[in-house]
Amino acid sequence: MCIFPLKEMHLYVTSIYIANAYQKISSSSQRKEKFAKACSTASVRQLQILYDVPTRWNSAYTMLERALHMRRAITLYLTEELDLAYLTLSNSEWDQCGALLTILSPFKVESTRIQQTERPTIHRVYWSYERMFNTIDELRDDLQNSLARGRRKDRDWIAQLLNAINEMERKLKSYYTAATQYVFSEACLLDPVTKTSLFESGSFIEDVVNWKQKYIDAARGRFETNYENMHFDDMANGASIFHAPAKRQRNDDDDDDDEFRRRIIDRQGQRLENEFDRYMQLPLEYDGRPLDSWRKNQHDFPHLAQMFRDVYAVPASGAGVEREFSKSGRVASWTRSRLDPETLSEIMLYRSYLARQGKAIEEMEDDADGDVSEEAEIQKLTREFTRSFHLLE
Amino acid sequence: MYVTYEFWADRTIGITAHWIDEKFRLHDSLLAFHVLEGAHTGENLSNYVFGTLVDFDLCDKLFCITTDNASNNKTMITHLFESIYIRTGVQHDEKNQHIPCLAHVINLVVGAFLKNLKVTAEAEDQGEDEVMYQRIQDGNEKDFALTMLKIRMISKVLYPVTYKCAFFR
Repeated sequence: MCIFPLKEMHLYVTSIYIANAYQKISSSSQRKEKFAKACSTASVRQLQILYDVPTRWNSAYTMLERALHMRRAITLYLTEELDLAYLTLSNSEWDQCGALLTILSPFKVESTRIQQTERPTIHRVYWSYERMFNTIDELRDDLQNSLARGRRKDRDWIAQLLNAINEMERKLKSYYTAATQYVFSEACLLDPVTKTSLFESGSFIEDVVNWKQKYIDAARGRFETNYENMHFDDMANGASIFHAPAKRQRNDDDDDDDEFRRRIIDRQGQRLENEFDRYMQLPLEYDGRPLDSWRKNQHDFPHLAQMFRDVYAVPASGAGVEREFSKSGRVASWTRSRLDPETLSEIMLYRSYLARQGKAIEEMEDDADGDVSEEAEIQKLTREFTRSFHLLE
Repeated sequence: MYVTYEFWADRTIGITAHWIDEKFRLHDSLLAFHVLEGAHTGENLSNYVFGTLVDFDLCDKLFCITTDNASNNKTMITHLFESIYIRTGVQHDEKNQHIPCLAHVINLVVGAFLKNLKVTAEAEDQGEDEVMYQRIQDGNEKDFALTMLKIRMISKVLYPVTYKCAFFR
């Protein structure tokens, strides 16, 4: 005997909802408990459901990733919280999440790759653009396929996605056409593993402009004007085997038969005269990080190595500074809301010094006033640090 | 020698230097961390950056400078290169020595994608729960917006405090 047949029960619940159309959703510890229970039933570790922040990079990606990871727990939880039933995501909506995530993930990968500060990133810029364009092409193909084959009710949002991807490509193109700074192409050329290989790939070849030759010429030009005639003070210590290339011997009474031979020698001579061309002639290296292989090569190409040091110091992103901002958030927390801007900046500098040197600045002989506050102490030390700071020792 | 520079919306600018030493190790170091006073015009910003370069005696060692794509950074660069030219006679080429931050570019590209789908967390998502409830009930949002809104609401119900912090951080 059943008092409430299941169907009516359902009706009953819905009718309550229609009656007081909206109840203020409140968060409570009970909710969290229920969620924890749902998590353990679904055998998912209880992680926080994230909320995206437009100003934070990749936040939409992390939000979706987390939600999909917790999908079973979320579904389970929502079946128990009757007043939240309207938040239940349908299968099609989960599919949408998955599709969004697939589209965003390559960009997330690129962005993480470019944000590292431990190693140079500048030579990855054009590769990064190339990969993103390829990704967009692939995604568009996939979407067009599923648009043709997919269920009708899914077609709507797939069409939306296609539209948005085209928008994305347009935007990417506008940035790409502006990214003509010579450091990007030079960095590619100066990477002994790749050199010109990128400019020999599809999209560069199809273009009317011969990018490869153009970039090589530009880089050679800049090398000749800025680096070739550089003088090194530290060259005198004999550590390097740098010496002027031997002058070619040319005798007027050379045999004409030898013209071919001479021409080859001529060309070799030219090559020897220019480090850049000599470097470009070398076969590609199989692997190795640019920094390591240039450490090895610096004596063979002393001038080009200088150019390398300049170009590769350029990071492709401002992630280093971004990270300082995050650190500053921890220094100037809301419990220290009256922190003087001056003090903040000095604390930040001192922190950076500590991180670099791994030790504190030696305290100065200045014991006149014993009880200086901690912040005054830091101020004093940072002033000292700024004074004694020589970037190029 | 290379300098990156970043201006943060919250009235702070940070300046870092990056260089490779003779032993081919990459270094980076924070040069300055200012809390800005006055308007955020390019001119004003460039004074800060130039001041820092002078403090560390780097004017003639600057190679490139990286910023995000904000428009006041363009005027900043113009002014900065001008000041450097006046002081040291070294001329910089705005077109080549001003590097846009690629991470920002990627983020803007992804942002364009999300905006087109109308799924970015806008200020109106901050609205009263009742409004959100209506929006979900009516279901007249674009599909994706609705889906994202639901996830946001779930997050908000379960973690009300962190959600607020995350938004204003």
